[in-house]
Amino acid sequence: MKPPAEAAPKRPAAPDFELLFSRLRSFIIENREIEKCREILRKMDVLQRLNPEQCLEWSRLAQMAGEMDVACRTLGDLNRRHPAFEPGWREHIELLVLLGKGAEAAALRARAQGAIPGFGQHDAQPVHTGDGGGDFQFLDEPFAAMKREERLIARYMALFQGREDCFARQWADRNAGTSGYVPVRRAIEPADVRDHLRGLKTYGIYLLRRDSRVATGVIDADLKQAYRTGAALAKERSGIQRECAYLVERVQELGKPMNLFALPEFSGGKGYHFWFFFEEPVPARPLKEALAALAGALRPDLTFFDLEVFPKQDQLAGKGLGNLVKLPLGLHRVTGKPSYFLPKRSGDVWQALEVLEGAAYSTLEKKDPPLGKTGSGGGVLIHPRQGEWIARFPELHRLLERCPPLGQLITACRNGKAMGVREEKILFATVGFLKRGKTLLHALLQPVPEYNPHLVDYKLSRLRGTPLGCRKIHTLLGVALDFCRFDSPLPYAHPLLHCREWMTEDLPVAAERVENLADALEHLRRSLDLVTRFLPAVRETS
Amino acid sequence: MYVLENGSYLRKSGGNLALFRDGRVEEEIDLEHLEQLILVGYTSISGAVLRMLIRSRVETVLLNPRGGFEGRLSVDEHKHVGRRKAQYLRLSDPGFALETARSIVGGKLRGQARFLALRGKQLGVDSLLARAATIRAMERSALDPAVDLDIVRGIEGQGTRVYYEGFPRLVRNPAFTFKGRNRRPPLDPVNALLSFVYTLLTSEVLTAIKIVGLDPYLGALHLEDYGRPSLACDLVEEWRVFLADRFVLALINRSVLSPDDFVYRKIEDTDFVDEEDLKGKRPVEMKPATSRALLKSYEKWMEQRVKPPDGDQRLTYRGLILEQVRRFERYLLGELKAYQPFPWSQVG
Repeated sequence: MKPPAEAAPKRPAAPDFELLFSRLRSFIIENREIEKCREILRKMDVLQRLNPEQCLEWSRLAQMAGEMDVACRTLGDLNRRHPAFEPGWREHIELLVLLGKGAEAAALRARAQGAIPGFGQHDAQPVHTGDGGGDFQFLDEPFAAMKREERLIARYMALFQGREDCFARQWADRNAGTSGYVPVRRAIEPADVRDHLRGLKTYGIYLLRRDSRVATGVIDADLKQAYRTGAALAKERSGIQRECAYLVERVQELGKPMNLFALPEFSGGKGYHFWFFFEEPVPARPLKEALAALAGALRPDLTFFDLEVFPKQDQLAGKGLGNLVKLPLGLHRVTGKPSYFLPKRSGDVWQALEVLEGAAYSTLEKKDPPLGKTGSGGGVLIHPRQGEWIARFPELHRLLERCPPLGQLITACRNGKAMGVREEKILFATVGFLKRGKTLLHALLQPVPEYNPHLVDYKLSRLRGTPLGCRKIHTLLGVALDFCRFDSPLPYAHPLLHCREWMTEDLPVAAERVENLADALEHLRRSLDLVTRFLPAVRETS
Repeated sequence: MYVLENGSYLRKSGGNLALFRDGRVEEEIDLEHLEQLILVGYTSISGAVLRMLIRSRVETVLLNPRGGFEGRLSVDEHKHVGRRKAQYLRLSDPGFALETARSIVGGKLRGQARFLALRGKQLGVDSLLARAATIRAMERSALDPAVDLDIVRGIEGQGTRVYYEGFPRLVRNPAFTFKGRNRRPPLDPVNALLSFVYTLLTSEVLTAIKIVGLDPYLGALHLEDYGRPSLACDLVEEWRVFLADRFVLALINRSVLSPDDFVYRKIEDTDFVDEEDLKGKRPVEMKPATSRALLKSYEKWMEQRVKPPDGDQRLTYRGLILEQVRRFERYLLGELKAYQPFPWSQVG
C-alpha cells in the first residue's frame, strides 16, 4: 500500500491588485483615509510583483494621493526594469516637467531615446507654454470708467446738497400741460443721481437743510413770460441770445469780488441756474442777502430775463420744505430738453460732470459791493486769461462793465457770435471813435465768423461824424434799460463818455440828431454815395 | 454662416443678400451657399429677405447684443430632428454616455492641471505644481476604460477639490482671500465673482447649443434633472478655467476690483425656500455698478480673438464655444469618433 501522499504545501493566493487599485482609487476620490492610502502606496516592495501597467497605475494612484516622490520612484523603477515600456517613460517625463524639474526631464528623455529608438519623434503637436491668448490690459477699462463715474457722482452729490432727508421728483403731464414736484421722503442716493443723469427720472433738491443752513445757493435767471413764445420770441431772438451770453459772463464777474463763484447751467426750461457752492453749510439769511445783492447789481442791465434768488426763506417754518431747485443735467420733464453746464453742451454726461471737479467753493466772508455801472474792481480775483484781456484792452473792459448794451455786444463778439448789421454798426460807431479804435475793432471782431480784416479797415475808413448816442443804441438793440447819467458838456450822451481818456481828442462835437439843413444834406449825400456803390450789383442781379 | 453686427441691415439683391451698414453695401452674401445666418444685436432684415431665407431654408438665429439666444426663425426643423434624434439615442446608450463623460471630465481636469502648472512656474510655487501633477493623474485615471460613470464623476469632483485647494495661491491681491469654493450662496467676493462668471459662461454654452439645434437638457456627465440644462452644464466644464477663472483672477490680481465693490450682509437664516429667497439672502454680492462694469469687461473678454489649432481664421472666445458645440454635434452624428474638448495647450 502506497503511503498516503503528503499534502502539497498550500501556495498563498496571488493578491488581487486590481481590487487593491480599485479600493485605493475609491478612497482617494472620496477623500477618505488618505493617510492610510499613502502609507500603502509607500510600500515600494510591492512593485516587484506588479506588471508594467500595474506599476503605472501605482504611480498614478501615488500622484493622485499627492505622493510625488513615490510616483517618481515608481516610474524610475518601472523604466529601469522595463525599458521598452514607452508609457512609463512618457509619464515619468511629464511628471518631472509638471513638477518643474526640466533638467531631469531632459536627461530622462535622452535615456528614453537610448532605450526606445525614435522615442518622441512623432510628438509633433506644439504645446504652448503661454496662457493661450487673452489680453488682460483692456479688461480694466470698464472698471476705470466705473470708478470715474462713482467719483463724479460723489462730487455731484457733495456740491448739489439740499435737505438731508428729502428730495423731490419732477412730474409732468404734457397732454394736460401740468407739471410739478412730489417730495421723496428719504435721502437722495447715488442710484437716484444716476437715474437723473440718464434722464430716466428728474429730481430737485430742497435747498434749506433741517438746521436752516444752506450748502448750495442759486440765482435763477428765467426768460420773462412775454418773450417765451410766439412773435415776441422770434422778434427778439438775437437780443435774447446776446443777453444770455452777457448774463452768464457778468454773474461770474460780479460774483468774484464777493467770493461768490458761480457755476452756470442751462436749466432745460426757461433759462439758467447759477449755482454757488459752500464747503460747509452757511446760514440761509446772509447767503440770501449776498446773492440778492449780486442779482440786484445785474438786474438793471437786463431786458429779457428776471432774476430770482434761492433759497427764498431764512429758515424752515411749520411742515414746509422750502423752495426746491431742479438738479442740473438730466432732462427737464416739461420741455424734454436736456440741461447742461455752460459754456457748451457735452454729448457725454460724464464728460459734462468733469466740470464739477474744478468748481470753486464760495464763502460769505467778503462782502464788497459788486461791480456795476458805478462800481470799481477792487480785490478782484481774475482768471489769468481774463486778466490778460483786460490788460490788453482796458477800453473794452471799461465799456463792458459800464455800458450793458455795448457789454452785450462785446461779450457776443468774444463768444464768436455772428453780428447783425445793426450790431456791427453800433460797434463801429462807438469803439471806432476810440484812439485805438482800429486795434480794438480787429481784436473784437476776430472771433466772429464773418470777420474780414479788409472790410473792417474799409468800414473804419468810412467812419464819419460822432459816436452813436445811448438813445440810438438802445433803440437799435431794442433794449429797455435805464440810461447812464453823465456829467458831460456834450449835447448828448454816448457810451464813450465812460472812457474819455481813450477818446480821440479831435472828436467833432455834434448832436446825435441832425440840427441844420447843411448837415442834413451832407448826410443825404453820403447815403446816396453808399447806395450808388451797390447799384451796378443790383442791376446785375436784376 | 454670417454673423452680423449692430446697425447692419440686410436687403434682397437679386438672388443674393446685400449687407448694408451706414447706408453703404458692405458685402454681398451668396444665398446658395448660406446654411445659417446669425443676426446679432440691433440688426434688421427686410420682408423680402425674410421670405428668401424661408424659401431657401436658411437657419436664421437671433441673438441679443450680448450674444444671448433670443429666438430662431422657425421654418421647418427637419435638420434638428436628425440632430436631436442622434443626441437622444446616443446619449441614452450607457457606453456612449460614459465615453462622452470621460472626454468632458478629461478636458476639464487637463485645463485645471495646465493652469496650475503655468501659474506654479510663473509664481515659483511648488505646491501648485504638485497639485497640477495630482490632477493630471486623476485625468488619466478618468480616461481609464475600466472606470465606470460614477467613478468618472467622483474623479471630477475630487480633481476640482484639489484645484480649488490650490486656488488661494493664485489670488495675489492681499485685499482678497479665498478659503475654498462655496456656492449657493457664495460667501466671499472671490466666490461671488466665480459664481457670477460661471453663470454667464453657462449661458454662453446654452446659447451655442440652441444655435446648433441640440437639446440643452440632455447631457452625459450631469444627470437629467427638471429644469437643468445638463448638456450646457457638461459642455461648460472645458471652459471654466480658460475663460472664467483666468478672467476673474485677472480682475482681482490687477487690483481692478476692491472689497469695497461688494455689499456684505450678515445672514443668519440659511434656509432658502427658492431661488428668489436665495438671491435676497446672499451674504455677499457685487454692487450694481460693479456688476455693470464686470459685464462690460466680460463682453470685451469674450470678444477677444485667438487662432484655434485647427483653423486659419481667428475666432472670438464666443466663436470658439460655438465651434466646440458644433464639434460635439458632429460627434453625436457619428462624423467624429471622439469628442475632443477645447485643446487649450495648442492655442498660441
